[in-house]
Amino acid sequence: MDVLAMLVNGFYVSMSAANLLACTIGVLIGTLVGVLPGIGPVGTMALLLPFSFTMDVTTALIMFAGIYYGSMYGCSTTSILLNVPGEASSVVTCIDGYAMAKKGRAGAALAIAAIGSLIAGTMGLVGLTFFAPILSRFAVTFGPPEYFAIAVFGLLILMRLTGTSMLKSGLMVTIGVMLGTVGLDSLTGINRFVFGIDELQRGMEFSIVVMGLFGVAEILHTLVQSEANSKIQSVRFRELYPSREEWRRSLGPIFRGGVIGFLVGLLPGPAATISTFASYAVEKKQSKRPEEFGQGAIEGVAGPESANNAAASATMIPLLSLGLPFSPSAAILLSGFMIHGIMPGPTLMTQNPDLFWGLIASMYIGNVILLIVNLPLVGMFAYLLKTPIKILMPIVLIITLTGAYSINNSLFDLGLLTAFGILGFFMKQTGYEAAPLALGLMLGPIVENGLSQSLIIGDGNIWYFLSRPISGTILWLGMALLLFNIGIWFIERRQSKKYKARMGGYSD
Amino acid sequence: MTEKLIASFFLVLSVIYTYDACSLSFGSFVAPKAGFMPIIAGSIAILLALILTIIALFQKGCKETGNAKADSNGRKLIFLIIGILVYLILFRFLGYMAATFISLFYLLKVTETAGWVYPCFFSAGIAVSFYFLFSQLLGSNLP
Repeated sequence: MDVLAMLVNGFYVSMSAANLLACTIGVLIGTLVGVLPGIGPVGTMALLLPFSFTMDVTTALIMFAGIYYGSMYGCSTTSILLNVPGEASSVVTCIDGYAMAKKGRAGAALAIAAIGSLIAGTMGLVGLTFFAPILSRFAVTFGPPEYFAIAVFGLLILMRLTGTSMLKSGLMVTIGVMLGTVGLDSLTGINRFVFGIDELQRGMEFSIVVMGLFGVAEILHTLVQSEANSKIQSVRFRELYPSREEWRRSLGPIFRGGVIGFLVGLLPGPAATISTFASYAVEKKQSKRPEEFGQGAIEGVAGPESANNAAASATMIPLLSLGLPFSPSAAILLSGFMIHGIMPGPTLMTQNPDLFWGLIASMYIGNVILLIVNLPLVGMFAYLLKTPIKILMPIVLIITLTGAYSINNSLFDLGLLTAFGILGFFMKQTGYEAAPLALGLMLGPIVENGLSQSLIIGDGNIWYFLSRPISGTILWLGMALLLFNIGIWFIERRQSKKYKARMGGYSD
Repeated sequence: MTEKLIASFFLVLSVIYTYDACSLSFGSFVAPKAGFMPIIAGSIAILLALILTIIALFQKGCKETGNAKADSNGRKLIFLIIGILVYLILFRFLGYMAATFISLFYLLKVTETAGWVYPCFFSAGIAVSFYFLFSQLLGSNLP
């Protein structure tokens, strides 16, 4: 009951005119960046971060959260109408969504994606509402060893889940941790790796690194690889009605997608993307008509699109309860908290109840706004897709550069942004993921402080970590995961060698 | 080739970082100092980057032939990077509006936008409106 009373109070906070406007603007910007390729939710939130200085903290965070879950909805539009995923979390939707569009059922696919997003997003939020306070109360007892263990475990899981080589992910996490050590050391007060550059004393600005790796790199990639926009399927408002049969076939996948998305969303890494693949696999296995998958099965749209929205809600749980961001978007939200002098974590709920519950309540409202605003506007978003990439991307690049300059009014930051943009471009070309680097950078200081403080408290005894019930369990699990990862790597290499030998030594 | 270069880049970066980390005090397990974490992280990075570099060096692959599309993409990338770097220099010496106008016009031409008059007026319009938006409405301190 206590939770419900606090949630009602959160609704009062989020229903103020400024917060409602911020929520609406957030979900609209989110949908827009989801629709348009080139600039994703992470880059957009990083871009808007400096402009939130003057905003009220609750209003700013409501807008950022809106951008995040709005983009989850927006990216389905390009997948269905254009066969081009706006974000990685909509790759799966392309398969059956575009097939439905070619059959003239684009409207039904878009409507089911939107309604599924609303239902599953709300399911995720119910989980967030009840689970986050419990975890927060539990986390009050956490000390440095527990935070160290959780952060290390998160990074280890991330290495397994990124979908590329574990060695590459491991290197990216480590490089991120290394970048996190640049600047003033909080424990000893010594400047590290600044090479006489004053700007580096404040450390690597997370938003600059993220804007470079996710924003500039993506813009360069889009411009270099750009081809003419494909033919876009047009949709009229009256076509947005799914048939009775489509409704019947979608309900199960929407609810299953919600559960899958919520559970996967608790894991570190690209949870929204993974949840869509998991949901698609479950729906195909569950279906009585698996042969229809790939030919325009509505279950292939309903399940994954519901899953990614539920995952977006669940990603907030470790951030709000522990102060640990497990995805790049959550890390940007953490920056949003920090620039206003607030540290999310176990005490957020008690010290800033209006912010905590107002943010959660705004997400309920935002999900409804998404449905009300976006379905009638689907034609406009489809029209926006006709904007030539070669005109759009240079403008987005200028916006990104301007936003990056505005953070500290520093030209050095622009140089750093460009360097990370070029690095990100080549990383993308060679299968090095940017997300582990970004999370390594964010979690690195937590790992370092947790490790150093725990070693001091435990008199340098490593068993101190392992003998504490929570940190010990998590670290043992982490070690098992590491061994599992190494085992899988050896098995995959052996299988790949056998395959190459069978193919007569040919490899591509 | 790109794979080898990027793996070697990370290896060199890790070596430089670890070398610099060695100048910081490591401390001990009882009292870790500023170099404790950097030396551990740097060593792990060197190990991983070395493995990846060796894998990349010994990887069998198709011979990279002079593909016309790849060449054109490479040229476009170089011109885009030059555009960004020029923007940074102009930003320093000419201020936001002039730098944005010149760089945007250049970028539009690199991305093969047809004509000269349209990109010119378009860039000027964007430069003025962005200056107004960021400086006046969003409160940025633009030069």
